Amino acid sequence: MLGLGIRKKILEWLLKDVVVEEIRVRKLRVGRGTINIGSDYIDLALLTSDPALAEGRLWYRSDEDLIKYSDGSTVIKPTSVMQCIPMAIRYDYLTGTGTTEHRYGARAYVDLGVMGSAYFCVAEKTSVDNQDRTISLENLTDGVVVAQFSSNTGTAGLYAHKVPFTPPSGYKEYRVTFTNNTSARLDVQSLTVQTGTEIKDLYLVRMVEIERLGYRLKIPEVCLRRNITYGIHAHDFKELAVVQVAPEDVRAVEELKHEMDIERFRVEELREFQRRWRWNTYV
Amino acid sequence: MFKKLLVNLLFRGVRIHSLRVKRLRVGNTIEITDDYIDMQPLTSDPPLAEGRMWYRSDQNLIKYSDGSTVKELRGVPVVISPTAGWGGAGKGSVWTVSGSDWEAHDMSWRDVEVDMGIGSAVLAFYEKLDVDNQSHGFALENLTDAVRVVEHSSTTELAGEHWHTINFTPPTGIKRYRFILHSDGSNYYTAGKHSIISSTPLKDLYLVELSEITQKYLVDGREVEQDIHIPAPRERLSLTYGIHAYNLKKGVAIIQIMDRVDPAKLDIIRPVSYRELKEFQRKWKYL
Repeated sequence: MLGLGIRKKILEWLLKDVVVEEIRVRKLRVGRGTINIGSDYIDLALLTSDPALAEGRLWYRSDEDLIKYSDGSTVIKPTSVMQCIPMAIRYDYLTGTGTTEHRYGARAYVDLGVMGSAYFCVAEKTSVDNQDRTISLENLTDGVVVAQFSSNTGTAGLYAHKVPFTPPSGYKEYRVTFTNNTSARLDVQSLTVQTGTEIKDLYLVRMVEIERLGYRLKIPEVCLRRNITYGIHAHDFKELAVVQVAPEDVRAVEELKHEMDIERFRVEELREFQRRWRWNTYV
Repeated sequence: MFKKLLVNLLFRGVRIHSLRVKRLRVGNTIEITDDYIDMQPLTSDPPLAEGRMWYRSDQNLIKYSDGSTVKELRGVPVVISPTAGWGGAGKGSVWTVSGSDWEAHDMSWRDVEVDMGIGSAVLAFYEKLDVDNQSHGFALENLTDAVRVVEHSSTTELAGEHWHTINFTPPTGIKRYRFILHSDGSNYYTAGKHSIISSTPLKDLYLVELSEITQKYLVDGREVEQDIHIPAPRERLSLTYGIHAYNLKKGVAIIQIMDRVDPAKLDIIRPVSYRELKEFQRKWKYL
């Protein structure tokens, strides 16, 4: 049997400058065995700094837990990094009943759809038990309330809520409004949109038009009957929408199923409807 | 030739248990090294197969397929948004001017220090004109380098509301930025609701000279003069442009022009391709 060194030399001589048409291997180890290609997957090297940039280069940063690639001049991070967009940072309040646009909320012309599924995050302070209130993120361009926190339960206090939704793709004008249906003071604190959502409890609902602070806006019909916290994940821009209902409101929606056009919607079908209705072309 | 025949004969139909190589090159286009995988820059999608992954250089996207559809390994966009500050109920993060001097306002960035080196980006904003053909402008200035990096200027728009997006590439490094706007000296011009999001299609690129001009600004009610660099074509024409790279020592910049302007009417040095832009950005250490 020839020694390893000789065999290596023969193989290297054989392979030098030769383009092999096809090699079939069970496992391929490149370099010091840092990139392994198996029959089912590719293991990337665990890097702790970015390599020199080149167009189409792909690598894994183990310290950041990110797969990255480059267009030759910048580093692109394809994995999920949370983005947080402040829609309003300073608090605003209502001391009696009414609806107002958040005075310190930025009315922004922005493509929120690039975030994919997201949370509308709301911080509020109620001053009486079971205070009836609603906080909304409105897409004024299409006339749709895309995410809304609404409740008339709970003890007085400071709360934070996350409302899952999928913003539509394209540049839209957004505003934030809130409604207080009691005479007690309602404080609306920070309002942000953040990436990442657990999608569940979806319903296909009928949308109806309401008027709010100078705009005609569509909301799920079911919201006319109950305080429902919801986020839209897809909308046909006419009368149908797929909404995610907050867990505490699922029961109320199920009860109204017999009186209104409401259907349970399968999570697996969501992407198809998001594309078909051209609600979000990024997902 | 003999070696090639021999090697291919040896490998044909043989499944090797494990192969270790220092560097693997496939078809001279995909290269796998110790640390990374270089993929072939494609400008169209290949035939689809489940689990297939490739790189679309024209879209800056890693793509893969489930066999029937194409999916994207999307870079999470960096959103510096909203760049507007406080709103006002019924107004919503806009501000209004009537003077012809450029003005900043608390409704937006005045002297914000930020590293906007997020790669190519889009500035989106709203504006409202009181009369047809009103002279007006909305701009983002990098005060650290004294460069107006994005500008929308026009004397031909109709009265009413307009929405614009302008592509540009901010430089890396912490810079001091401000948004400014001006009107024609008599009619009101309102703008704002602006945002910046990463990722932009790069086209209509031109290499131009930078001109250093002395500009009048209204700062806290006082008129002051400051020097600022703008693309030379802007001196003769109202333009909407975004800068993708500049070199102050050489006095040049690469701009993307958003208007439908005949390049022959512009003082440009020459058109620049997407690949050349990347080269300039590297050479000038812009990104």
